[in-house]
Amino acid sequence: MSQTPIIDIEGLTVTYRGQARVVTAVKDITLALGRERLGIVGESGSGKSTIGRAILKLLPETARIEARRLRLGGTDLLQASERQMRAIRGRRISMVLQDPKYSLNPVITVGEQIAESYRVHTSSRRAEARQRALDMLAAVHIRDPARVYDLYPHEVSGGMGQRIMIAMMLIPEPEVLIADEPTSALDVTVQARLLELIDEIIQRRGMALILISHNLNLVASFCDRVVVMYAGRIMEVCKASELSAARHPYTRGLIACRPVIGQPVAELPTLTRDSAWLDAPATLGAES
Amino acid sequence: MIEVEDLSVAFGAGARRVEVVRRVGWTVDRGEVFGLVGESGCGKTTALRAIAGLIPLSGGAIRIDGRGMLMRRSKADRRLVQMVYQDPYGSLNPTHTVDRVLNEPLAIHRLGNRGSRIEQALSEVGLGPEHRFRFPHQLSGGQRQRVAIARALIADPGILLLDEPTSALDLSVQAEILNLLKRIGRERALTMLLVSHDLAVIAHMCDRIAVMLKGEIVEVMDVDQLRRGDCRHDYTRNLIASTYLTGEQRAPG
Repeated sequence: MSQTPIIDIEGLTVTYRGQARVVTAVKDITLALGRERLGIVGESGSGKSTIGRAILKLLPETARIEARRLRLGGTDLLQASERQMRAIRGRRISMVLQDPKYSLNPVITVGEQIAESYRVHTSSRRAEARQRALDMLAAVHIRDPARVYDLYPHEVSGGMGQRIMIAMMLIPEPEVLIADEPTSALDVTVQARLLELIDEIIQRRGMALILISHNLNLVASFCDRVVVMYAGRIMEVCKASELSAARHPYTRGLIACRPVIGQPVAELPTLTRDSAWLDAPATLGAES
Repeated sequence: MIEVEDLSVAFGAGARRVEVVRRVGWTVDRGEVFGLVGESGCGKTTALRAIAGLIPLSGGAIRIDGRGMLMRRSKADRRLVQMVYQDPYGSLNPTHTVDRVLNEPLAIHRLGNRGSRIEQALSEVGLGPEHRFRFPHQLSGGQRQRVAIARALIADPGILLLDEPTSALDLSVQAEILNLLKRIGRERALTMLLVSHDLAVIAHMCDRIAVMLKGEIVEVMDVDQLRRGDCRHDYTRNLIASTYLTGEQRAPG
């Protein structure tokens, strides 16, 4: 990366205090995000979502965030108060979650929810916020914004719900979008169109994107760089286009245990986990 | 073994009637693994549930071993067809131990030697006696799906209906469960009907494949045609493309 990073993380560790023991969800992660599309892949429990939430300091009270550095541009997120974080969330970094059905308020029309997201961050009038929300619905390629504005979340499809979430997250014009499994609840064809839309918007606005997903194919085809996580650690960072030639045995194992249509096998290879992966430093593959 | 002829399933009545499966048909030979692929809402799970006798048909016929099947079935017919569901978190009762889950089919079908049958079923799916008295929350997702498979197998069925058996699981766990299903299917000479949205999973498991779109079958092909990319429908081509990594070799190497 040539310019200074937008998000700069060094030595991030997240632990959860349980009743009997302390669980480490993310361990000693160092990562810099530029104006790029960065993918974070891993299996469930690998800590990929925890990183996204730690950046926004949206973790439960039992969680403890430690880092040598956690910065958004010139802002030190570690030192930021809850009040300062509220100004950052949505306005500078926003987040799209997996299932719009659970992330949208079921008793408020979708248009009002988008307008509210604008009004929270700007001192604007109701009528102006409404107009901005309508424009935003058009920007996420919803054909009849005026009609959709007055619909409730249960009246829209999964794909449209996710467009609405994206509209709501992008209307305050943040610098960074964190998308945590944004298309996992959607079908393949809807998935592709939604990713095109996210791409179009982040390119046009010069934003950075963190795409968190368990889906190797999706991340490899959509992102510029990929971070592979396992057990809270970074196993490998590589160019997305080179993921199929990844070097780390964990990544290789994940790629190998997928069935592939053109390459029939009698039995799928299964992943043998190696405890040495927990200590070894990440293979910083094609990182420039 | 299974003949599906002009099967239709509709929900609702009058003006709100929606036909979610429209005149679909296929046959599955004894010992064959047949795949049904398509996106959510295409009717694939509904078709599977109709075959299992969980919902009524609105038209057509389902024959198993040449006998017509409706909702009301004999106990022997119920025992013959068993189902494994998508979500092992939802399909196991959280208040029942594995032992109780596996006892239920044995009690329903009045089978004896329960203790040894349960231990044998657990070992067949790769679990040990130490798992027998655990509750679902004490098991991982993969282990729960193994319990669900053991429950389906314990009454010794001839047909296994699999509804997205691995889509709630991690990639590495998916490989273990698919290997398990493939081995058990072969050893017991089961006839299997597998529903999935993932064409790569279907290609790995199945001998023949039907592609469903909006309640209809748009294409039926065998696995060799699928591997060659020999399909007529653009929709099938899209599904195939979505399973590959960028730059990954598409033909056998």
